[in-house]
Amino acid sequence: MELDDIKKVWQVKKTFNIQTDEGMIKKILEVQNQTVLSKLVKYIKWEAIMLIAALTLFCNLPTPQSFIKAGGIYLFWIMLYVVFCIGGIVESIYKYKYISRINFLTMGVKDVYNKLSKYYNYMEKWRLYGVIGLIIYLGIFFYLDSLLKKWALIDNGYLLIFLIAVISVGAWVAWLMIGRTMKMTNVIRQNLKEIEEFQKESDE
Amino acid sequence: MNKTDLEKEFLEMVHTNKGIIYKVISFYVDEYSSWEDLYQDVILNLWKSFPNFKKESLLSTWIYRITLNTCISFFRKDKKKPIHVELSIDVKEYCEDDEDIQELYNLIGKLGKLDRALILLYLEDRPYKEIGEIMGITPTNVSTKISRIKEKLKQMSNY
Repeated sequence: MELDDIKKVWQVKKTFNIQTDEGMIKKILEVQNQTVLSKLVKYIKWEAIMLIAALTLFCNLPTPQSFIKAGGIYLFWIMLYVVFCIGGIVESIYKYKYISRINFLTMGVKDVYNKLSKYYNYMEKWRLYGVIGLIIYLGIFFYLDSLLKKWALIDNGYLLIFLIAVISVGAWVAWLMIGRTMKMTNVIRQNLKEIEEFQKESDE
Repeated sequence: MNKTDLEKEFLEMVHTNKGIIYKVISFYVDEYSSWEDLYQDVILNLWKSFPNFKKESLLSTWIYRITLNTCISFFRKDKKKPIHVELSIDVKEYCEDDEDIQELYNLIGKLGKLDRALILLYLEDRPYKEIGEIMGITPTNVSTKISRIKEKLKQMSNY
């Protein structure tokens, strides 16, 4: 297949019979659905709001309060949560700035593709790490809580059931996340490889 | 300019240049993005940047850039349709006119998103300088890359 021959055919024959009327475009403008970029910005804003809410709420709950009073490793575990939340909020601001800088009007296709692929790659990777980290964190949190309140003295049977339930839900969530993430990271990896090759050729 | 006038001007612009929009979208419809999703996103992005379009560059350059940037950034993780406006588009219509073009569509499906953009602009007979502006690379690079993609397509079609 010679592309130059196809080009001639394309120029002459390539017409589209698709009908789009003004009413349809007006409807799109009226509905004002969000574009890919505005959805990303909205998601980042929600993420920051949720982190602030989670930070405020969690630190005022009775169990974390008892951890703060107990001091030592308990206090450290709560501080770790605070650091994680504040870090998450700072990260959201950074992500917001990163996405806001992407401008379809002024930036070339290569740069937009590069920036977005890197962003998606980062998000997919850290979302998985985040969920795994949260499961581990909560597991240790409940373990420390059991030590503090001497759960074992209450009923070993209930404690066992509780642990099995937490581990099962955690494993199920992780399994779902890993499957989905693997699929998406493969696509993103291909995109990044393409950009790398494209860039390499440009440098040559 | 008030909103009604701006909208009128925008509708005229879309009508005049719908060929460009359809052709770009036809290169990027895949398992992650449908005609409707891409079309709506393109129209919205064009509308949002329309007031900021300064006639320093060609209108076609602006449309190609926004449309291509929208199509390459589309990355849906699920197939749920968040929208809303049903479009009366018969997807089969656009690829049934010529065997070579149909084969071209089959082959470009195997290319990366950036290569697809370059091939499309090449087929549209855009000058290398304009392609470079749209893609964000130099005209020399455009030439080199197009030669490489031509080779690639040739090899792919032989298999």
